[in-house]
Amino acid sequence: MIKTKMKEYRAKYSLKQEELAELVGVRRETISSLENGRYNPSLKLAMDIAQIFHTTVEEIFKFED
Amino acid sequence: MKHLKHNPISYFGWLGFIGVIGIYYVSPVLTVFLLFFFCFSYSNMKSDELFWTNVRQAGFRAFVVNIVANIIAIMYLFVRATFIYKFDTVQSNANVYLLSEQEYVQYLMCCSFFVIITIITLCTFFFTLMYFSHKEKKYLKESE
Repeated sequence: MIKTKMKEYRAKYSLKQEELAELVGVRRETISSLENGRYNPSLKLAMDIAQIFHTTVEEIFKFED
Repeated sequence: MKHLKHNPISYFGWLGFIGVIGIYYVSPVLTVFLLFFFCFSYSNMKSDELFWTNVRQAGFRAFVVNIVANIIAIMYLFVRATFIYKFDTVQSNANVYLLSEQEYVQYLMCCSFFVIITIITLCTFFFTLMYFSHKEKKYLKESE
């Protein structure tokens, strides 16, 4: 199970889900599914999101058993 | 998976015109192709990685349904031919095959099962995909 801090980072950068989705090239539904832990991103998508928020993948996505 | 300009699933929508031919010729089998018109609704949907994950899951479910339905059909036809009616080899006379009524029904059933299983497989795929889309939209509304 992957937990994310995407909501916090979106709030920090004042980004809506649609805007973030547009920046990384996915649908808004994908961002919503990521934030609610219903979908685990591919490595490329995780890295793209980390790049948008100027941080590392490990900082945004945490794996929990 | 690359992001494509047009969602590839939407191209299946053109198969819906085969259903229009079915209406013209009053063919119930071809009319089922009208279901493919649903695929045009995917033309505006971006084909991102979550979409392809859903397509893979829907495809796998349709594959399993197809396998199970085919096994049931094959076993039914085998039992019918071997144990119930005990068909012998088909005889021919001057390029004409001589079939009993039940043998003819058996061949009709083979054709029918092929069509029915294809329809069931396609319906499983598209309805599963629609279910995933519906779930995504539902969770989107809940998170707003």
